[in-house]
Amino acid sequence: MSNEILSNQQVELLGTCNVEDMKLQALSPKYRTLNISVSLVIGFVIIGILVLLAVQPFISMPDKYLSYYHIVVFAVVFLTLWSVLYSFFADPKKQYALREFDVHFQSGLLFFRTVSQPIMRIQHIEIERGPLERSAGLATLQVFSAGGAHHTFEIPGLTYETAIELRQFILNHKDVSQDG
Amino acid sequence: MDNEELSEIKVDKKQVAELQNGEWNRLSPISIIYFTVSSIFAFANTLFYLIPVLALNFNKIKEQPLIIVAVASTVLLLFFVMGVMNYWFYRFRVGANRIEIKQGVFKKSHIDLPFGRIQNVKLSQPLYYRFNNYSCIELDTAGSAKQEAKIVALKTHLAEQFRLKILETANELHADEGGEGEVIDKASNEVILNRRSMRDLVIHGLTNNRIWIFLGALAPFYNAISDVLAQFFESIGFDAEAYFSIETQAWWELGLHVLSVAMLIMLVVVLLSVVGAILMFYKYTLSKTSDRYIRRSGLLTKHEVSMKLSRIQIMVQAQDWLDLILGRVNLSFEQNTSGAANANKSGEHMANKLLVPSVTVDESLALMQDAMPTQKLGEQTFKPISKRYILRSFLFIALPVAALVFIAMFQKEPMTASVSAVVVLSIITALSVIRWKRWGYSYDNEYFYLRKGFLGVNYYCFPMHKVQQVQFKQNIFIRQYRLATLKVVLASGAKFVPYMPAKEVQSIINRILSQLVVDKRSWM
Repeated sequence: MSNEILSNQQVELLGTCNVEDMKLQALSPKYRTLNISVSLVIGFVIIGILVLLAVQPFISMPDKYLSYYHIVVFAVVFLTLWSVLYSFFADPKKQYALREFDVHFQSGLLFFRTVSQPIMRIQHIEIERGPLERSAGLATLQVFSAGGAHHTFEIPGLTYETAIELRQFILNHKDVSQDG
Repeated sequence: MDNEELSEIKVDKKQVAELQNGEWNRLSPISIIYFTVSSIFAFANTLFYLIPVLALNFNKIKEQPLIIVAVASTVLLLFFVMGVMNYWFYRFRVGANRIEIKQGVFKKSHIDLPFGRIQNVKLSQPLYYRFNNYSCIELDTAGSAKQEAKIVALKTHLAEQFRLKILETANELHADEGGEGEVIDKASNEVILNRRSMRDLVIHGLTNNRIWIFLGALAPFYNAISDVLAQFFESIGFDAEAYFSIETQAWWELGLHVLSVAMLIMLVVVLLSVVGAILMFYKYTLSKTSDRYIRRSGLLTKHEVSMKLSRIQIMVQAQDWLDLILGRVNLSFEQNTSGAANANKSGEHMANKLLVPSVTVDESLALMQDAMPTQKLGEQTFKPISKRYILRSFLFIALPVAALVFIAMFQKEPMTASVSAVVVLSIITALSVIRWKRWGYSYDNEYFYLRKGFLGVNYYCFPMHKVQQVQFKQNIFIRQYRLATLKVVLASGAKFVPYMPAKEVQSIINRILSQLVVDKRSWM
């Protein structure tokens, strides 16, 4: 395990590095590409189905459908564009940082948020990978504390290797083995 | 302690030791009542949706009383048989440091629970156990609700000794401290911190709406009740239609009538609420052993809830507007909400909360001092949040609502519409000013203090070393004014303070995180 490399990153001397001055790390660039392609594919599939239903000769669709379906198509186009643009601008804003005693995740285009999770309070860690994430070699790191399921600390869009390294760093941390 | 009591305790300890002989035991037959009642409750819970149907057909059913009696007695007999069978198949075995329970008629279960994993031991005494002094022991484990075990009927003395035994064994397993005798002394050395008198409970009923206890129970009979009321009014010659008619009386007369009826309803509500408070908190005592608080109360069913002192995450001192006038406080200690097991339980039965109802402010401060000796909630001067908070509620709540009112009324009477819009606008703005005034925060080296509220006011106090997670939140509207929201996640839930100076939020976050670097105390 390449833990040595990791422990060379950003080490905070007590009281010298504040949360607002941390150097943040970017997520994998594939994360944005994946999100944008997913939005585009879903959008195109829905539009395709809507249009196909209108033009196919096999089943006769109700007149109402034929006269209004283009409005729905426009709405889907708008939503797709919106989510593509949102991913384009918001995903690069998602960053994380690891300090000796805590992990941080920052996000937000209009609503900013920095979540700080002390490693000592971590109860267990999961790495989650959906089929799409697997195909892109990405992973989501989930960290659970006693704060409950609503407050699960999550870093998406990590390369699988980074996720494993992060998990290993946290598991090896001397504070985690305590009762939390 | 006199000799008689001492010898009694000795006998009890002997009995506990006898119980721990590793043989399978059967419960006392009195538990048949318990099983019968609980299967009736279970049945009622699952068939809850049938109640409206029954209520609708109430009149039809009423005409054939014999059938009702026959059906009811058959059903009761069935439940009784279920109770006997449950009793018959229930066995428990107590070893040196574990307890095993086998139960179930159709669905058998075998629980094997080491004492070390038991988090909490609750004693409860339903009404029907009161006469012969039996109690139920409920054993809570840290994890899932499925693991919960219950010994259904033990003599109360024995149950209490047994509880001590379990807690001691659990303690010994967790940390090998002191001699055995010392631990026993510590554990049984209970001091009563607080009692609530009847007068306190009446005040609690007045200031806190406990009427839901009744409304819930009465729900199926609403129809029947209204019929009876209508008949009653007719019989005394009271004509409700004329009483509320606009044609036969002046508007002020109508207003008075409406007001008096409203007052009457309020009176009934308050009375029922007082009765509810008494049902729940009768003979309330809060006592303390070396490491835990124990709450006992209840008129019909006596409840006992105990909470380990070190588990307390946050202390909440809640005052409604009526509490403010009367100088009373509802103090609660909250511990972790472990899993969803507690989420379904409502109200005061929630195991993650220990409530001291309607104490005076001084008593509350003393209790908080006892729970967390180093906190200084009473001496804090709270810092206000930014006044832009008022602006936000003005722009996003007051203006839209006023605009809606104006648009809705504009067509008929433009003049009235503008007046009502202005009235709505000023009321909402005034309320948000009050709300802003209530917000306040303060902190010292160890604790964070929070004040918030509306008509009433709540104070929160939690130690910073118990924090699970912190969040810095900001949106583009407040970023330019260097404001931010602080959110702190505790094991008992999250607390937040809006519209604080961003610098202050950052410094608090830094303070909490750097405290956790040096302070390795557990949150449990």
